Amino acid sequence: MSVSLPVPPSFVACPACGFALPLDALAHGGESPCPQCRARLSATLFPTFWTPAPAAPGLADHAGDGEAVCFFHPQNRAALTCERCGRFICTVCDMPLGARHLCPTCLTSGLGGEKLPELVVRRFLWADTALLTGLLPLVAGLFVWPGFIVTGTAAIFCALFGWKRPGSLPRGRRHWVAVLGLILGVLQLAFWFGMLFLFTNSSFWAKTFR
Amino acid sequence: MNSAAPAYQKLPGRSIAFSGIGRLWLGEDHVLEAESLLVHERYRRFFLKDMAAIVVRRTKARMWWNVAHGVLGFGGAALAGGLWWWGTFVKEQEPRVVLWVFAGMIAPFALFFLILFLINSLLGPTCRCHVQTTAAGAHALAAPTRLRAARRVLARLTPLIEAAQKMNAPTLPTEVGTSAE
Repeated sequence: MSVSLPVPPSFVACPACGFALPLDALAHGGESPCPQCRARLSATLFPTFWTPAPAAPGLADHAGDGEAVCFFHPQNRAALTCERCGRFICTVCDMPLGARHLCPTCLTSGLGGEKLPELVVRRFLWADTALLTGLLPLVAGLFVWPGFIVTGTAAIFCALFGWKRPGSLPRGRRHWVAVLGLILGVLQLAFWFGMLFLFTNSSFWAKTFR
Repeated sequence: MNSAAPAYQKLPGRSIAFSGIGRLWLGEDHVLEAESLLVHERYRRFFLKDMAAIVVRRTKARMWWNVAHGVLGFGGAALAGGLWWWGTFVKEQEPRVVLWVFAGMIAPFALFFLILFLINSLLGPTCRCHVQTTAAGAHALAAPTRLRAARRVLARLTPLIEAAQKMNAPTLPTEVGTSAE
């Protein structure tokens, strides 16, 4: 979520030593050394850097006769509309979320359950977990087969449980990863049961090594 | 109330570190920094309208990696070559085979590090990118970590940031007829 401060950054600090870099040296666009630590830097400055930011919205204007009013503050003049629910809101109720403007109700309801993608800060990737647990035997080796009952079941569980859960935010749901994890999990279980059969069925051994 | 998941475009460059694999993605109105560690992803957003400056600092990571890979690669190759060459002077068969076996065991490792040395050299100089915003000050980005990729990212982002900062005033309903600013 973006929150604007009234004062724009007035200088660019060297990322290595924190020294305030001379803007004339940066303005030409090429690489220049930091006067203090000699780190080689290049900076691209954008219009926001040079333009003073507008003052933070303080009190909203009082509504006059016949003017649209804020849904939450009937005494305030509406300044814009919520982009989710369409309610008129004043500058006090305006909750900027990137380029969007929401009302406090929509913002609060979007905080739970990852309803607003703009507010998601971390994701657990179930499909990747399924694949990882499915691939575990390739890393650990087949001699750890007694553990396949655990890793195989875990891979199947993660693939199925996470099937409808949101995946990576930028890459989206990757069902092929979950399917691969599922297949590997099933193979592990099949291997485990096969080995169990071999070890418990004495007649099989007798026939094989007669 | 569910919003459609935003569409993201991959930006050039990525980083590999203990904290995970870092990558930048371009969203509709922001840049998303994603760091994924096996089964978990962390996100940080930088809105285009808030970006005041992007500082690219050249680092010496390539040089140090080249030193490490070079020592292991060239040192291993020299050792394997030396053992092989020594073996050619040994007249008894058994010690000669032992030397050649050792040389054969060391050579693949040396080759591996030489390939890493070559890749690291070809990828170009390393850097660290820092974004300065009006809201949260300066932040070191996880990616890109190569100067060439950083230039491509800047070439891609600069016009978008400038366009976003020219029209960052909120739109108003016509029936209200007043400005938020």
